Amino acid sequence: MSAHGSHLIENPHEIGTTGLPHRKIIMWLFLASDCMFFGALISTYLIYRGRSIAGPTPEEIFDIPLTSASSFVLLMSSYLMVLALASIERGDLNKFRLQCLGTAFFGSIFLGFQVYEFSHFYHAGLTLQSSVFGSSFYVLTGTHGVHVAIGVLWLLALFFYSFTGGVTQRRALDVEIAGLYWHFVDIVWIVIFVVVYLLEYII
Amino acid sequence: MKHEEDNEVQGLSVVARYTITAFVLAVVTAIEVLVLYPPLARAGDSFKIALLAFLGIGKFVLVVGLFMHLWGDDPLFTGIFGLGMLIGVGTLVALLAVMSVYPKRADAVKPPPFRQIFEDREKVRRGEALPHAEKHSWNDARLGALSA
Repeated sequence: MSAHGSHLIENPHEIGTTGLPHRKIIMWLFLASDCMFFGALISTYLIYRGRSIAGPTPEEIFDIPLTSASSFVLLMSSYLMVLALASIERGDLNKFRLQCLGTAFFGSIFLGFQVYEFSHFYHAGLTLQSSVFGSSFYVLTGTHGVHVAIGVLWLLALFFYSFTGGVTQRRALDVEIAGLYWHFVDIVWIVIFVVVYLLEYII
Repeated sequence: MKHEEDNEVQGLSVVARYTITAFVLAVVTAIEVLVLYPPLARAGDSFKIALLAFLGIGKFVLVVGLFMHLWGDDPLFTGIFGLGMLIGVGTLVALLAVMSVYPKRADAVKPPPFRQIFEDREKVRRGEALPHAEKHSWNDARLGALSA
């Protein structure tokens, strides 16, 4: 079976003996390693869950409507990302630019929500040092936020690069790899939203 | 052309397919949040946890399968990602199992304020007894360390 979009690869040297693009294999390997990384961070959060002896507690400070809104924004950014890939595979550069910029914009809104949330929590007394909840929460969600920020920069780079002729239909793999990273950031948030935020109000 | 075939799957354009997927994801997210509000909030905890797990896994599979094109792509990518997921989830389960032996917040002993720790250290240096030393077992280890 050939890889998705492999017929749109400009340089034949990008295809190895597996018949698959090297860069795409490397990106999937990176995402697999990131699964282990986030698995360890989520484990740490769950191990320390309910063990803080100093406040504030998660139930006191979490704002579910706000977090739900930011989850929705990130999901919609994933939608725009996949549309951007479809556009560049069709050779529609203008639509690609619009959708790529839209994805970066939605990612920035998500980051804005996170900055607001962190600022609110800090003023409520939750710091990295205040409790094990603070430490594990900030490290987990902060690491995810850094991933989102890197993704936004990557998308903006692709957007500006498209004006120099660097992003074309024959180089759609560049966009697909960025898309894989962006969707991965989205699925990590799907897990964090359920495990960190929603489960707190159930068990 | 092959990419034109790619853009039309089972009579449905890829844009329409992605739009339907995004709509389903948005609805599932809304249902997840509604679990915390009545009438779903009145349901049993086991039901709510099972529902959240089902919805979360469903969203995960949809994004990985359709948006990341794992469905229909080379099985090697599924294998690579699946192995990473397996190790990540295995780490989570193993760590939770190992660390579950430690006490919960309700059983945990609140440590003294720093000022008391410094006062205790001075008392230990002067050879005085600490009246609250017997109350908590953690004091034994702490006092042992202070005396050393």
